[in-house]
Amino acid sequence: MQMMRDVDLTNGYWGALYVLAPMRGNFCVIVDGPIGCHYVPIDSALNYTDAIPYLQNVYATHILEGDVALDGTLHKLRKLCGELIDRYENIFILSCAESEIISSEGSMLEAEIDGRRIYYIHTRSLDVDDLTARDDIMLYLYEHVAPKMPRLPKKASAKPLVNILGPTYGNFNHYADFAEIKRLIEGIGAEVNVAFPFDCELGDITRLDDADANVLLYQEYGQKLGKALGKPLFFGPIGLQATTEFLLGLADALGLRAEAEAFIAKEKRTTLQGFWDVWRSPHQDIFRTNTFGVYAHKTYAEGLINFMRDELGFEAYACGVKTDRWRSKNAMDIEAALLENPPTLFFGSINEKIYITEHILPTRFIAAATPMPIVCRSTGTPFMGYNGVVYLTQIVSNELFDILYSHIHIEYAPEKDKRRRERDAARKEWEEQLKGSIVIREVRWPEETVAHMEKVLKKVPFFVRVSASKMLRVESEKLAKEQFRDYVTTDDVDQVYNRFKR
Amino acid sequence: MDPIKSIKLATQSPCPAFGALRILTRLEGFLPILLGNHGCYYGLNFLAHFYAARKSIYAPLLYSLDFTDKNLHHKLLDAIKEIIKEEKPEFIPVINLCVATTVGIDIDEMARQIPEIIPLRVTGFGTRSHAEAKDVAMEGIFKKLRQFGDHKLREPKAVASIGEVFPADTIALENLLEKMGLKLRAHVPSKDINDFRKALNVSTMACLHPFYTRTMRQFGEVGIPHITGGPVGAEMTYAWIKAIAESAGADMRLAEQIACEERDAVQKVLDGPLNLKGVRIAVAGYEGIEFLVGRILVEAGADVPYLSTSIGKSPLCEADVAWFQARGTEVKFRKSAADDLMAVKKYKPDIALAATDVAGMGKELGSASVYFTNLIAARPLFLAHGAENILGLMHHLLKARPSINRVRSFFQDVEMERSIAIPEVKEHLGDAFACGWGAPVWGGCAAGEVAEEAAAASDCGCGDAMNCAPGCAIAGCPAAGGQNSREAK
Repeated sequence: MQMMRDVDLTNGYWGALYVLAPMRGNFCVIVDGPIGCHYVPIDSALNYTDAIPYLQNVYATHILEGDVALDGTLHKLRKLCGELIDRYENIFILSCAESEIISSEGSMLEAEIDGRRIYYIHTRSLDVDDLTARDDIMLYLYEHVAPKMPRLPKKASAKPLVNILGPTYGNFNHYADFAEIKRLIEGIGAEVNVAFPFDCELGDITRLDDADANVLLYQEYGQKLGKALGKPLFFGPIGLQATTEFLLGLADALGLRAEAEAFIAKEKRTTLQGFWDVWRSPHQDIFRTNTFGVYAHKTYAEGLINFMRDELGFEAYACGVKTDRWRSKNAMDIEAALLENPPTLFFGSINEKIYITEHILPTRFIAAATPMPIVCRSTGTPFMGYNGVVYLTQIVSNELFDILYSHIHIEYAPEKDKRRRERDAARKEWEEQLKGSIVIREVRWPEETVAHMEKVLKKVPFFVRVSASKMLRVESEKLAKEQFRDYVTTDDVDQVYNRFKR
Repeated sequence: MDPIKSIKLATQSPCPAFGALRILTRLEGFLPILLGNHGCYYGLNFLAHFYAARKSIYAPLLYSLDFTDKNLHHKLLDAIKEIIKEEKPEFIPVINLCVATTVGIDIDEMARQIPEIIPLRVTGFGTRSHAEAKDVAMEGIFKKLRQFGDHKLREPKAVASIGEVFPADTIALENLLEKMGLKLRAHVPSKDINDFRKALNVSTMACLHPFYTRTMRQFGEVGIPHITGGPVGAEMTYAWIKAIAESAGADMRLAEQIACEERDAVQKVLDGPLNLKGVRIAVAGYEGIEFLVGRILVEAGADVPYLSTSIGKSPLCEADVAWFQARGTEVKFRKSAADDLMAVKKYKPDIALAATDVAGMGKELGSASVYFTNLIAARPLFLAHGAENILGLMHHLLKARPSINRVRSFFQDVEMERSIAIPEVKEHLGDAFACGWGAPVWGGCAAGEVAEEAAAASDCGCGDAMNCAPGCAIAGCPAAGGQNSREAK
């Protein structure tokens, strides 16, 4: 039996919900489950992070003890469907682990009430993970639901049409990345056809076939639909090269090569100017002597590795792709990897942030994955596209400078008086020594301590090593003297080193 | 079209398992294990972290096939033993969530085989609120400690308190008890398991929150009596001090004197410049702590027509219920969000203390509503200091309304998404919304009539002449009715 710690990928039920709920239109979703199945994904996860206070199109049966032990949940579902069927054109019923285990036979309703307008979705919540479910439900909507809906006319536009597939609830930073991808598509002279499911009416799924190319926002899910649609498929890019390839590839598929080249040239002088300036500056030298790690979903993990390592010059430590933990038993043990080789910067979720804190590692944490109790609603924080290049460079630079400042000597206010007394005593001692009345005991550095100090210094980012080594030496000796020792111990070094982590 | 009867406008309680995790993740040396499915693991992990648990939660990877596996029990045991070897926890609370409970994973048997295990059953369909799940967790911990014989050293004149209160409140309790020659030996839940051990050996429990019914039964079984309520408001402060003194065996003459002193101190605050005469406040909480808050508000002169909670009625609430009913307050147990909305419609309060959804709607409508948990439950309540604090907050809320409303009025000309689906709210609340979302509920539906009046008033006192126009939605403006204009003067 595999025991997991801090589960960071959810299940099929959440995945289905997060694809269906964002779409507009006269339809609703019914959750067939107990109170927590409504509360946890919607009222908490979405309310606290995406700050969506209440999803108006999601209802729940809120099954109780009697339903579980005696009656099953079908009667509740039937009643709720009966009340909602006249209000909504379409109803999607989602099973959850609980209703699946008591086999509530909700699928009967599909035939019983109205096979066209009620869809029962067995989310296989115990066996399917979040990302697979998002993949499946996107395809399901295209293959099973869209054919039963009235076909909408093709968008009247002279420009080539492009679908964006995959911006759903419960992702990290999707608002910003979605906005940037839209900007890029429009930048090369194409038009967004359907942004599914984010900027999309349910009926819009009948128009998915109208596009000339498809952009999948994420690599983690959506490929089944992408393949079914059969048009050229592109993925949300992270980094300079990936974005350029994305723009040119998409342009070639749409016959917009010249426009794309012009757009890229213009971007270099506008959006990317900020990146170019930072890249030429001393910032980039610091990048090259530093390390990073990442544990995130595939798109972000691979994108960040490409960008941070191949374009900014960081060295990669402790990198992993999140889906591994669910799919294989050989998943990278991120905590162990962090302990073995703590990078300067680490991109991840709240779990990794906790490991870093728990072990008092010197690593700085940057949010880059769910679950993360932060709000990401600003569209000004993209990781993808050229704007992503600028934004990532900025946060990385600022974080490194913050590290630098935490290593620079500071006169702690509460210690000012104590320090003054120490200085006075030291001067007296020195005077006495000159007069020949005392012989100063020098503080020794045993070999073991020197070796330890070297080991500790290696954990300190290279660009602050000079300041750090000075501080380690002076402060460790002070600690030794305070304890009336004439030698420095490894503990002294560690104690001083721990202050760096603040 | 008939209103939808079986829908829930919004959930009435968090997932109960979260309540148990709140207690368990804070305990040092505890290593909680969840048994359920990935959605629950992920969501509860997120929730626990959101509320700053900063502790790992473990869970076995279970597929539906595993639930039909005859060896599941042994496999789980082996996995838990492995973790004990690695992490060396003092206790392992194993929580059966919905699915695991339904398929009947026998955690009691596990606990018999591994003594570190505290078996807990917390389900979304059985445990009615997250507060009561805290009770389940506490009961489980105390049961385990009793099994280990940690209840055999009785300490005279010692008191323990139970309920999540602001740290300053426990200090206030400590000082108060010391004056009477008593000792506050422990406060639970806390992060130290020894506090729980100490609590099992005191002479009286002060049950500050009224949902700890199962836990109090555990104390009853080892012969420790409990008293209910807390030293809030003038009346209850007096009664509470006398009760705790009598139960814990303090000098009653001294207790009488201290009870009078404290009562008078509270009364002075209640009657002072912070009084709430003429202010109407609806209190919609969910843990029973709203009884304590409500008492202070009522005694300070506020009109509290409605008080609701998610917990069930129990003997621990009896005194409070009688007290409120005698003062005409409608007390609602196991409330739904719809109940709270209806109350807001019916009573048109100046301030609504409510859960997120109802508070969110209040904000959209221009009331000084706040989220109960974050703003109210995280404050000192006890004695004069607590009263001062709560009353100060109410005045702060009333005063802050104009500035909050500036943002609100910015969005008034656009049909923004609402916290609660509009059609459903309209059905539930009827004509309260007939006047449109632009007008506040409080002050009635007379927005149309008073609009001209508002336009005529050059300075309505809402502090925002720029946005004060016909249909002024800013509370405190005459458009909002006489009730609210009071504060403007």
